[in-house]
Amino acid sequence: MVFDVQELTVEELKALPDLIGELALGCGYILCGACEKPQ
Amino acid sequence: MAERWRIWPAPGEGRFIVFDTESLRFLEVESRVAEILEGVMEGAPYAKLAAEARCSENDISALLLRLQGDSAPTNEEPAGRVPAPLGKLSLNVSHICNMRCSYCYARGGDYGHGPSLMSAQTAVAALEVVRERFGGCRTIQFFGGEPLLNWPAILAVCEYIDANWRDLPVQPRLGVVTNLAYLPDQFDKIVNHFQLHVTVSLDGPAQVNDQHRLLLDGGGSYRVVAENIRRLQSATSQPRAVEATFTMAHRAQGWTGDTLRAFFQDTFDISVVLVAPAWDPNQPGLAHELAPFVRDRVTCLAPGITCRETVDPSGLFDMLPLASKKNSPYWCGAGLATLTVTPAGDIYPCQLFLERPEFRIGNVRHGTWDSGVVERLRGNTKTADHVCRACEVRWACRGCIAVALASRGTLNPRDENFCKLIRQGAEETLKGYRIILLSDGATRQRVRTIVERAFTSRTYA
Repeated sequence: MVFDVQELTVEELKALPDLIGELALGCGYILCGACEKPQ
Repeated sequence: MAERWRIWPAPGEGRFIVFDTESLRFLEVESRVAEILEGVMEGAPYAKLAAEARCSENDISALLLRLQGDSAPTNEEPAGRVPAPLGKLSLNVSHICNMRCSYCYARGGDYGHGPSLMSAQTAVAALEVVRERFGGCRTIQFFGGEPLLNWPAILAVCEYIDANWRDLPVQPRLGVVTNLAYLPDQFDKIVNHFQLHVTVSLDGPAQVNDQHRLLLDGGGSYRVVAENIRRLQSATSQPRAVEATFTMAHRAQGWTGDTLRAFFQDTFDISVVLVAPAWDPNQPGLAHELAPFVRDRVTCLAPGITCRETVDPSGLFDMLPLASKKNSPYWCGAGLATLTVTPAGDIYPCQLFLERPEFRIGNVRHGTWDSGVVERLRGNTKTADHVCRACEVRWACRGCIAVALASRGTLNPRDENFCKLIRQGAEETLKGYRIILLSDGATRQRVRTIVERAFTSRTYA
């Protein structure tokens, strides 16, 4: 690679998908985010 | 190729940050790369770009492949994959409620089906269906109506899981969403023994909560709910989260998502606060009007950097695609990743479909399952929509298909207001993620600690 390209990551947030699953949420309001979707 | 990459100046001289909207990766690049990408998006010939960058056309091709990463060209899973195990089984154990909230979408708790409680046998039948079809589920949520009015069914499910699902590779998390206007004496023992996660619905202090969240006698609910929160906290580590519905009463009194989150942390030491704008089918624009006051993704996404140590799960949900590098083709998982079962055993995609018999998937007691409903939902993807398929912020797009159905008669949430809100949200999400991305190690560790503490008492590797 002739170009300088470095990927940036936030390792501290990699467990986020599992952590969110810990919560019991789900009133289904528009855009509230409580509804799980296939990842 | 327009808008394929987002490019911002980085702190160092001649450095830029690139976000690839396809692979959802962030890269730090030199200025030559930023110029090439701008040129590609403008449709410039590779030969011209190569001459300007003093490299070969092959170098540019290699660069574009590098930006895509090692993964496949698109990381959107093909629609049709059956989640295994199921993401969330919502058991509506009670279609009776001890409150009468003015904005209730469940018609006082029974969704127009009539008051009823789920029997333990029906609850167990639901578990057996989920085990047979999905091999289990990640989360079992007790919902209603008010689920604590049927705490024996909750106990029966917990005991059944404990006795019969130990052999499954994924053990379900157990959670309940409750108004806590009634707290059974036995409940703290259930919470502690089965590690039940409790989310309480409360809109804020009495002056705003009691405008809409009313007891059966018409009085405000704040006082009794606050007492029960403290009672439960004295015996357990719950409730760990609050769901607050943001209404025009909040607006009139000057509340925002941030000040509400601060209230719950100061008053009850609860740091996970989901603030959702009220939705009224008679005022389809209301949620969009309220959303800007509710959602400050920068503060949600960068806890401890720009605001207090509170977390709004909705902001974290926005960040999920960036954290996981996965771009779901679905707006939501109703009927695919989530199922709701009524007291009578009827299966629906989620609780907001309960008044639409054409979306009834089956019945756990009768052993029926209508694949046609599921197939209809499975085909309802962003990638099947010609506008959404080409949208550079589809990674940030999620919405309630039931609300779309009620508001506009379609399972596709896309409309002018919705898309505007998603675009605004995507900008804020990218801004919040960049704040964390560019922060130092100590700050990142602080973010991790806050998020971890908010969600679970366990540590993760």
